[in-house]
Amino acid sequence: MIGAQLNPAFNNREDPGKWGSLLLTLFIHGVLVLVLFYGVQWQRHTPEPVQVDLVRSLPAPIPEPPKPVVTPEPAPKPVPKEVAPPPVKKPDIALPKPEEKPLKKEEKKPPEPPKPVEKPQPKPQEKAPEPAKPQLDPREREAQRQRDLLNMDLDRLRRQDQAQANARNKADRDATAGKATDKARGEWTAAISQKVRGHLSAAVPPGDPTAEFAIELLPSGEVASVRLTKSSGNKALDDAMLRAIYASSPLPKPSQPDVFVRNLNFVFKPGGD
Amino acid sequence: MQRKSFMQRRHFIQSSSALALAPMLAQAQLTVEISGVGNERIPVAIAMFGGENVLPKPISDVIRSDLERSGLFRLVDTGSQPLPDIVRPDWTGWRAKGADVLLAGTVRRLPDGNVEAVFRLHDVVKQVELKSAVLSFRFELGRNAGHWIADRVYEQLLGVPGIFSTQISYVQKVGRNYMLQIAEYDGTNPVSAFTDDEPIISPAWSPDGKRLAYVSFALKKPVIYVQTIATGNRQVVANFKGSNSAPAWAPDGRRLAIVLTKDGLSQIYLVNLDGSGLRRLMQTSGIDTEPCFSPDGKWIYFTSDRSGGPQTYRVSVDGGEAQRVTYEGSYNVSPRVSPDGKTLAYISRNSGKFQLTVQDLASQQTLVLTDTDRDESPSFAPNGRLLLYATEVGGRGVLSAVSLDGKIRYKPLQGNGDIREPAWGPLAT
Repeated sequence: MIGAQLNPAFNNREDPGKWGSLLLTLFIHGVLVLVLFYGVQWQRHTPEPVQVDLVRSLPAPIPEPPKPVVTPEPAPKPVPKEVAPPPVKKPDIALPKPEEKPLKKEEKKPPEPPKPVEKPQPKPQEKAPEPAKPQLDPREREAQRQRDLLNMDLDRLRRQDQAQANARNKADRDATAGKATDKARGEWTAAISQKVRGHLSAAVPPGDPTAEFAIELLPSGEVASVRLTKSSGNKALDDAMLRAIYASSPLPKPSQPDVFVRNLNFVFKPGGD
Repeated sequence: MQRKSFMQRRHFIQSSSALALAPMLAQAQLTVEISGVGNERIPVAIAMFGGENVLPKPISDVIRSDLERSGLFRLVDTGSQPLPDIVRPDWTGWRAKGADVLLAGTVRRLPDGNVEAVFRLHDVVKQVELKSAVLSFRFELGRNAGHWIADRVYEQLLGVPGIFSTQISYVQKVGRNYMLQIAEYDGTNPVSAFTDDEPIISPAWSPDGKRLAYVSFALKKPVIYVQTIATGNRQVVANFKGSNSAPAWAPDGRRLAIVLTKDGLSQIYLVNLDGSGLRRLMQTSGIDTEPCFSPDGKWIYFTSDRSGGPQTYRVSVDGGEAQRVTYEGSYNVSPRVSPDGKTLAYISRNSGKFQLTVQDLASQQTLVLTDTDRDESPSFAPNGRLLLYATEVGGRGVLSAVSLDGKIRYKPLQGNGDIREPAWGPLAT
């Protein structure tokens, strides 16, 4: 406006200048928004993995400890799985419910998980370029893009807030969940101990013998394998303990599935109370 | 592009979380402590042997009564259907009856008149055979065959040898007669090795179980004899001036520790079986008596009043300084060392009661095993799990037995008159 007053020559080119500056403004805005977008996106790196990891996969990793074992194999797995069923152990493990989930998740990763996990992010970004292209002229497209970008910003801010809130909630939940988990774990080991003890029939030799066994469980609680890691010094007593372990299979399951672990260390103290 | 980068990042997140979990998993092994046992008796099913009625007494009856008497097994009802060894057991059925272990077998008469028995011991839980054997024996020895099989079952399930084939000796006084008896481990089928109208005391089995040393008053004074059981031959080992008493076999069976008063008060001497090589172990001014070798033959445990009241001491077989072993209480006599050398059994006086007591030699922890008040003459079972001793019930001498932890007590062995001076023989070879 100031320029227009000082220099009347510009008045003649009023219309084109207006549009040009308007476009420029829009363009600059767009650039700013983009800068803002990417700037924020950088920052978002840290909170985002937290959100994805904790909120999304919190229930997953703990109930399925074997997952990491499986994770490195997702690529080779489909091949042997289809071609060769012989690996006896894997099918065994794959059959029971809790184990099945992680396996499937890994296999169907491309189609399924992105939806729940990444939905809010990729969608708006893709919507912006894609539908705009064929339908709108450049200007409207730009305007649309700006709106989209603004929406994305807002969305992002909302989600940042959400992430913080989630983190707070999670911390709270962790505190209580930790206690609950400890309790469930304690109850589980006590239930196992009681069952195995009930099946242990032995005349305890003098000298307070102790023995240790490494137990591998199926998710069903069935005893998959038993290995004597420390003998009591009396083979007959070791045998009696082994009988007790097998006779107790399947072992009781924990009240909280995420407490379950496949590998247990049994410490027998038959001379105890 | 955006999407791809997301995917990449997502993948990165996942794999990093997997990495973070890996160390946790390595430690994700939960320890479960199982303290105590559910049952102190192992549930065993001893089925009737196929064809066992060719014997006057079914062999499975002998095995069942042995195992039951030990107090360490619970017999699972097996019905009246014989289970020959060749039949594959119905695992589920036996498991449902609560059996951990199943014994099946077959007995048949051989053309030469002897009997052959085959047995198989099964782990019902793991569904595997634990042990099997074939034995043939003379027709009249069916009971011994039963004991032999029971010993195999016992050893397989407890990790220490069974004692069902062992013998005990004791002195029975009926009227004016003293009889040195040798019987099966539970007192059945006693046979007199020596009978006299003078007292017999302190029988002691040679380590090979073929001879008995004992003290007889046949010569109107205590004299030490060694008798070969099979022939009944007996020889004087020590007949010195004064008293000759308390013979104890060295583990090698070549010499005895004995107590003589020939030089004054009771002192301990070592002597060869033929009476040669007499050597006094210590020169003390008090009474030393009741010697007993440690299983390794290096030490002699004995009772001495050198500190006032009678206590247990030990000294090297080569002599030297004696060490006191028992400290608890003012009166501890008749020490016996367990076959593993870890436990000392003796009679302690507690508030006027003479009671069988054990002491862990390493920790010096003591445990009074009985509530009777006239216990005498402790003798370890050769597997070290039981103690046989004499006591009095209703004013009469009887034999009793108890487990080393005091948890299992056995029905006393009674007979005509008094029964005393028990000695448990070695494992059958």
